Amino acid sequence: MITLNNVSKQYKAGKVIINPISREFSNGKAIALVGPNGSGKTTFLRMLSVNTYPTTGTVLFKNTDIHKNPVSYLSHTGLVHDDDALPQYMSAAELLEWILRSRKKWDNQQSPVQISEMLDTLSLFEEREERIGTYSTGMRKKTQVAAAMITGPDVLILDEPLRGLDAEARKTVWKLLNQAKSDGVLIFMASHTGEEGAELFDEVLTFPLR
Amino acid sequence: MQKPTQYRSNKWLLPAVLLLLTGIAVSVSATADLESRVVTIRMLLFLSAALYAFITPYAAFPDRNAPLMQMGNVESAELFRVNASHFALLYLGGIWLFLNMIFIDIHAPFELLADKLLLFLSASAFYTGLLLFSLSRFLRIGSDSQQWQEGVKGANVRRILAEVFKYPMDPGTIPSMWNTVLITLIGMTGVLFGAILSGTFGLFGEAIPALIIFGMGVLVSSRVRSATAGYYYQTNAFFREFFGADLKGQDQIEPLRQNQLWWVPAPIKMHVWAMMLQCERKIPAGRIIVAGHFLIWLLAYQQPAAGVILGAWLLFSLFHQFLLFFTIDESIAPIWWNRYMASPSIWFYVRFWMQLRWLLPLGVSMFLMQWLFAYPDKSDMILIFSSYLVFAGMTAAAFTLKHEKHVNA
Repeated sequence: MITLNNVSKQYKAGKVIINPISREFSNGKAIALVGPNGSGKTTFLRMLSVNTYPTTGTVLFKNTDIHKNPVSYLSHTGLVHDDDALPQYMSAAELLEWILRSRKKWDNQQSPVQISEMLDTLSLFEEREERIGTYSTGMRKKTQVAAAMITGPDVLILDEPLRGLDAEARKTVWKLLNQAKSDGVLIFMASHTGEEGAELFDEVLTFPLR
Repeated sequence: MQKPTQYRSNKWLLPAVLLLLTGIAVSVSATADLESRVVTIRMLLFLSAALYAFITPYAAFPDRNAPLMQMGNVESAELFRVNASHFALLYLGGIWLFLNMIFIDIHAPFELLADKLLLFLSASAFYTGLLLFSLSRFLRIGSDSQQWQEGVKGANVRRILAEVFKYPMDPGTIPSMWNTVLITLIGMTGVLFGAILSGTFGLFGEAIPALIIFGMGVLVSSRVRSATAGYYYQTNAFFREFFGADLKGQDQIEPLRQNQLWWVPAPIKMHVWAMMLQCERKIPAGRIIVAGHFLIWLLAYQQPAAGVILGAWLLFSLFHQFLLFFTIDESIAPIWWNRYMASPSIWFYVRFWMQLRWLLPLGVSMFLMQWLFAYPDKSDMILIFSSYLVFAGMTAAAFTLKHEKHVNA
């Protein structure tokens, strides 16, 4: 589903973050990205989420260059970005409504129920009607996870989605990810160790890539 | 290795703004006589007083670079300069507009040069003084605001306003409101006195209040400058807490619903809704626009030349577009999020369509003015409407290029 053709990244000439890589990742797989800080995990995920452009090479989603057609690609993806900035003056419920309407998946009867169930699952109760600017780190992360999963994407790109979550919430997110994987979603997820939830992953990419 | 990707810079933004202002200056006063230019400059100073009085705290606080300032332990004088730099584009734009409006003269480019120079210097001094005064007042407002917000006096005011007048209000805003009134009054009184004194002393009379305001700005700012660090951190802390509290989700009014946006095409309605919902929660744009209409009506009541009113409407049309600035604010529209939600071209349409909400009030206000004062006439109205649309399109394009087109590589 996602193909990397000779993709590399350097922020300055000669300062290579990601060496040229060519790989193919198919649907229903979960890929763990592990490695120390500054090893290129986030850069790799930012390339996959079209927030960074490769120095060389192309990234294809169903044979389309994602950096040339970002909008059509992003309509199939769910993101948990490393930067947890979200629109602060909306509530979590409003944010999910915006996403569903934007993805043309809004249904006056079903969607409010769907949003409510997703936020219940992630234990965002009364807070769902408050503005995101007032949320704690964990609540922001939950909102990001909900935003990434609400539309049922084909690709999930997750940069440390468990950071700031308590044990109960982590368990819930793992459950959601297992469900998504069995639904055929391709998952990329960065973490520091890769030990937790190891059974989800089919492959571990160790950074820096050699 | 293949050829690295090339990224575009936004260095054209300042020249584009200056070019746009030159265009406005040419259309408003290229053929005007000196007297009309003086009236137009007065009106601009009038507007700038209201503008600085209102936007200074919003533009400067809360400062998201505050942790950086702490890390570098930036000293007072430098902190003052950093805070002043928030207004660089607005300040330069204002001075540029004065320069163009006064000196671009198609009929007599080399006549009355000494008078024009005097007018330019006095307008610039007035404008500079206003900015320095406003910035200095707002920089040191933190202590008073905090006392009002957290103290007993403030609690009593809050209770009385809520119980007696049924008007919910944060007492912490009282010093800001007082500052806004004070700066507006000083600016407007200065313009009026200048107009009165010019009857006796000519353009030198016009320069007297300008010099007083300039001197006042320099004096107040020199006092604040040496102690900026203390003022800055307290004021920043207050506004961060205040705007943070403002996020609590207690809407004074019913939140905007999608079906209220009848003028927006369905494919972009959700994005327009999301932006307007957030912008209205951050800043009451409607009140600012109403205040702008009020100022133009105040001007029209004095029955100046038709060209002056046309200029005022054109400037007001441009002013509307500044409100789009909030759609590139990271707290409303994080870049990664906007890029995730839609393409840059969609964001251009979203911003453009957002601005169309002010067209109806603009039209109603102009038609009423035409009915009462016989201006602006039909051709002027067409010019104002079309300029509004062009300004909206250009601003939407500029902001979209700056925000969503930017690739965070």
